[in-house]
Amino acid sequence: MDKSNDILQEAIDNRIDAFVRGMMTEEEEAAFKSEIQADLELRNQVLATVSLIRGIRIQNAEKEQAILHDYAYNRVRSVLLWACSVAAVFAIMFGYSKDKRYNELSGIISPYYTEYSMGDISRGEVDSATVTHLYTLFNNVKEQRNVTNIIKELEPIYATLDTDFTYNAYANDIAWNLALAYIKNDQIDKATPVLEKLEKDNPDTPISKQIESLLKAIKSL
Amino acid sequence: MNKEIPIRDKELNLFISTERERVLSYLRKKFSVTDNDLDDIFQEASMALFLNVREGKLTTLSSSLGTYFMKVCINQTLKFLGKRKKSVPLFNENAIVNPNAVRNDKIDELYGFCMDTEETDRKLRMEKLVNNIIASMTDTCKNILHGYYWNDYSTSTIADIFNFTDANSVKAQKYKCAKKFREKYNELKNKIYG
Repeated sequence: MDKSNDILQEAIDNRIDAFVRGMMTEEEEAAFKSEIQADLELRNQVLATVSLIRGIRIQNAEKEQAILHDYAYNRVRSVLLWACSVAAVFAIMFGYSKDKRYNELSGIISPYYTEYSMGDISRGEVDSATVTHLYTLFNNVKEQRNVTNIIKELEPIYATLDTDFTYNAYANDIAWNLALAYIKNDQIDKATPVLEKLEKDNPDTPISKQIESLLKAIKSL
Repeated sequence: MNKEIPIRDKELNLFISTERERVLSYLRKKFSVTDNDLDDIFQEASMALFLNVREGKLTTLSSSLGTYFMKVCINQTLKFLGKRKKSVPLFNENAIVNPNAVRNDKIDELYGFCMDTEETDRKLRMEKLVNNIIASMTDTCKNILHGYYWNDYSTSTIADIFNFTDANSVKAQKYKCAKKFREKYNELKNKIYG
């Protein structure tokens, strides 16, 4: 009985082997499946054998992945480390050159800063809170390294100076400090027309001389 | 000609040392090369494997790593014989494997078809059961089943690697191993799930 069972089982094993190696035709596969469906004993035997094949393959795939993946991971890690090192060198170099430029621009505008006193807060139509805010912005052009937000606030005010006379009493200070902020922010191309207009609006005044010398300084950059 | 292999990864190191006896046993049977020369050949092949793994060239292998390495060793041997102007036997490295490799999609298809439960938890417990039974098998069974279902070696290659008389004795042994597994699997499955 054992012998005939073995022969039968070996035949089943061969069919399982053909199935998992994709050697069966569609008809053969369908026939095998319907036999499995109709016979619980056969289904259990096939399930056991396929579980064995699957188990062996999963275990070995995991082992090989550990070898290949670890190395791939280490390789990616070393490439990333290399990229980070290069980026760090560039960041340092870029930071250094950025610092150098910042110091150069700050050096140019430092003689031209004006200290705005909060006591002087009632020129024209502007309320004291707005003047305080304006003065804070002006003083911050000197104090702060990042003047982007100051520029953002002064630009729209400067743009309406010719049409809206609310800030008329502070027009020169707004233009002047906006120009200084532009220079500090390395936006010479934007600072130049502001200074040129300011010079044109204030001919033969002490401020025009300052503008002239500042324009000369920034054009030499 | 003793080159030191700068292997840092213990997994790869373990893999190479496990494969060593199998590969050498096969090469000894198939080629007329002295043991000293085989050492050199194996060293060269290990170095090639190490470099390829390290350079990430083997992430999309079409065969198992063991089969790939066996083919590398065979090629190194043929190259060695060519250099020594010894007669190089006609050898098709692909002949060591079954031309129809086991396919994961087909396994999953049949496994899914036969599986009598949809419960993830039960499936996981059955997978654990399978792993435990495989782990408890004899080395002979593990070697044969691993060679046949993972490396896709032909039964005659398995016979050469593991010193069986011939392909038929491998087939007979493979059948016995699978039978033992099935008995254990069904016994434990019935005990647990009735």
